[in-house]
Amino acid sequence: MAELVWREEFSVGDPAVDHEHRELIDLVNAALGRIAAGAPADEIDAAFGDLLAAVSGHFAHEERQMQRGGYAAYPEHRADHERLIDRLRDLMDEAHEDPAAAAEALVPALEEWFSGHFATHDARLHGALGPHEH
Amino acid sequence: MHRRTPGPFARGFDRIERGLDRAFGPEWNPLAQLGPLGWFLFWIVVVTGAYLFAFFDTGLTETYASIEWISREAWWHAGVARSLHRYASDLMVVVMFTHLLREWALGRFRGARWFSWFTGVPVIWFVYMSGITGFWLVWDRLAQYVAVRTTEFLDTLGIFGEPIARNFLSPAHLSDRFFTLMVFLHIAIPLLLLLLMWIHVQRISAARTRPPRGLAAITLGALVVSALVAPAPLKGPADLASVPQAVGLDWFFLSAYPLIERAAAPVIWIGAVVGTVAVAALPWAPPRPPRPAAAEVFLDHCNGCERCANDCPYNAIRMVPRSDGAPFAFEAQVLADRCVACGICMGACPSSSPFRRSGNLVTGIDLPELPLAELRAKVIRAADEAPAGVDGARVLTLSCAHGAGAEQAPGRVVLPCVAMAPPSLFDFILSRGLADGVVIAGCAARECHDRFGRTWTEARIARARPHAARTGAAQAAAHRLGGPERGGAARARARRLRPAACSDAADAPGATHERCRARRGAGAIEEGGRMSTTTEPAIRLALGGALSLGIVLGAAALSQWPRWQSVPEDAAIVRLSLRHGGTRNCRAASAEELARLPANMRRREICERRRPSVHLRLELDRHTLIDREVPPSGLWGTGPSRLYARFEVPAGTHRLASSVEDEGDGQRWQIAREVRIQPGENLAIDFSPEAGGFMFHEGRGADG
Repeated sequence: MAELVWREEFSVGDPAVDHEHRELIDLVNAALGRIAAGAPADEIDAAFGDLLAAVSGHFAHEERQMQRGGYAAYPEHRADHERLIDRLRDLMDEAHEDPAAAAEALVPALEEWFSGHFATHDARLHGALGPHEH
Repeated sequence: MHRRTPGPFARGFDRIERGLDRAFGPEWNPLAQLGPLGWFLFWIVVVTGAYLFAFFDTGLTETYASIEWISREAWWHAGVARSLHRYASDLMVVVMFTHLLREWALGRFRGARWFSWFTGVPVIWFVYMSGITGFWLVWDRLAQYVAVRTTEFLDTLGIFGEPIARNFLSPAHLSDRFFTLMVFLHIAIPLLLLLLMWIHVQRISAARTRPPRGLAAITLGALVVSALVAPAPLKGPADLASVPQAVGLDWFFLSAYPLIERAAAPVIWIGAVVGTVAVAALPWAPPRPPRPAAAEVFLDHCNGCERCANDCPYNAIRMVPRSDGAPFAFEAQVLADRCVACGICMGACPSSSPFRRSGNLVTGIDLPELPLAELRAKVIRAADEAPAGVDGARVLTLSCAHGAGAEQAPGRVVLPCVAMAPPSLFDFILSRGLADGVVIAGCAARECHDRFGRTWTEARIARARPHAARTGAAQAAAHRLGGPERGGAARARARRLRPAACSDAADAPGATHERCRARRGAGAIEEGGRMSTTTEPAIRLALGGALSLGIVLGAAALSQWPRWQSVPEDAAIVRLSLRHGGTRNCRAASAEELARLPANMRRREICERRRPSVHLRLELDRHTLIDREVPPSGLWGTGPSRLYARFEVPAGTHRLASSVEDEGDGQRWQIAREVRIQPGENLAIDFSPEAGGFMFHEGRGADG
């Protein structure tokens, strides 16, 4: 199971967003690590719980920026956030029942987030908003 | 969690509001919209006032003539506007006091809510001042009564150099410009009122200043119909030669006047001041319930997303520049003195996920008295105890501390406000199999105790308001209860599962509470659908309209009836006015005194600064009406002696004798005259040496 690694191309040029993206990657890796190490179900649950709280907070922060900046694609971006949360929750439920299978599914899902959502939606968002306060 | 047991007034309001829920529907319930209705009525008064101003004339006779034209010839537009102006003002008084009483009964004036209460008190006085100055402008018999009585009462304060009531001594005393002044006051005071009303709603977020359209339409409709059916009264032109003996008082604005006539002025002034201070100080009056601890921000979990600040109904959270070095621009800050600890912020925070975490369960903004970790523990405990329904489904209830489900019961978690529950909590309960369904029992559908708790909860569940929970978490509440695996009957029931299944049962009066609980016991929310009022809009319009019309017509009746007999039918009024400066005591300056003064300041006489008093006496048929020293006016007694007095005398032929003696130079004026006084006559005696001593202004009998 490969760890996610922060790459410069993930950067959207906004230190606060990049900071949270890095945090998210760390949390994903922590969850993966626990699964790989065969940690008890409670700990895996907790790692996912950490990730869910962080992702939720991050999306809320981004949505506020979008609303403040009058970002035209806000509805799509928000819908994408909702989809990602749903996906994460599904993974959590699966991990709750079968941690190993969930780990398999987690990496591709998260890869998709970073390469897809972060690179396109987020980059477009922060490009559109320009230099801004958060 | 602190919760007040509803008192008899709160239960009384609840009972009436239930009835109104049926007639108007919860959304249009006027008792839940008193603040917005007050604003709406204010704007009606402003708009109609501006319209009337276009036709209004200022002048002794022109004023009444213009009002008469408005009410008679132009009855169908300006006349309607005048009636709307009058009745909307009357209703505003009703709405204002009901609002005051209701907020008091529901205990919504203490703690963080002191500001709205306190700033509401001066609003009352400004509504009265706005209204009373308006009555003067009509310049009919009622206006005359109000003008004379008000000025006489204000004069008792003794702060005005010249008694204002002297303006109304006789027709000769009144000037056209007086009306210009009154118009100015009648515009300036309502402007100040608007400012106060604006201040009144400053401490709450998104203040409701507009009633729902349906209710606004009903109210305006009832006002227009009343204006056409029972136009505002116009009682003949004012005539200062006679006295209005019986007047049709507007009991909303003028009910204090009979008291002003009968009670001693100091009693009323002191009563008004003491009463105002007592009402304004109620938020701090004992018994003072302990104030719950304010919400607390945990910066490690706050990225400044603003959701808590957006959802706070009390403007108690503001975003401030980041203080902990994290790469975010803002952080939330709680203004503890405004926080009522409703927990809505906690429910809004995206970090408030109840799912297990590596460390402690901490969120960005939490409630010290019921933190997220404790809430989670309570939910798990309650789920264990949740009784199973008839089909074995276990339902967990999250209920509002101010609603029907306020008391502890197995399977129930009581929250200060249901919006304290983050949407991810529903997801947590259902996905972790803690219960088969979640019922969110808020407070009454007509109005939320914490303003937006219900609205936010419903919007979050419908995903109309952003939150970070799984899509359809709430739908899942219904879904899990009656999901496909449980068969049609359960599904049908589940469809009725609304976020506020017990929502129409406000403030937990015993009976409803039991009913709500009984429903829960008997297979949860079987009758949930029936609990909210589902009257058709057309029926609500008709029922609500009929009720509103009844209220406005009732107000229109009280706006002139019952009549008040101010002066008995066979009596008349004698007014006495005095204005005379006593001649100062002077003596010749001695040679030494003159020598001490510079040449240009040498005067032959040295006079006392203070003027001497003037002795005044008035007799009616050898019966003394007044016999007193009138001191000079001004702080140092340098002004003339002034006096205004009124006496009620029986009609008939009388011998009036009056004398004035200057105690400075001993000069004396006197007059004795036989007068025939008609019932209702206003006889004015004005003394002014400059005008030639005593001046009699004989009036004429009143027409009743």
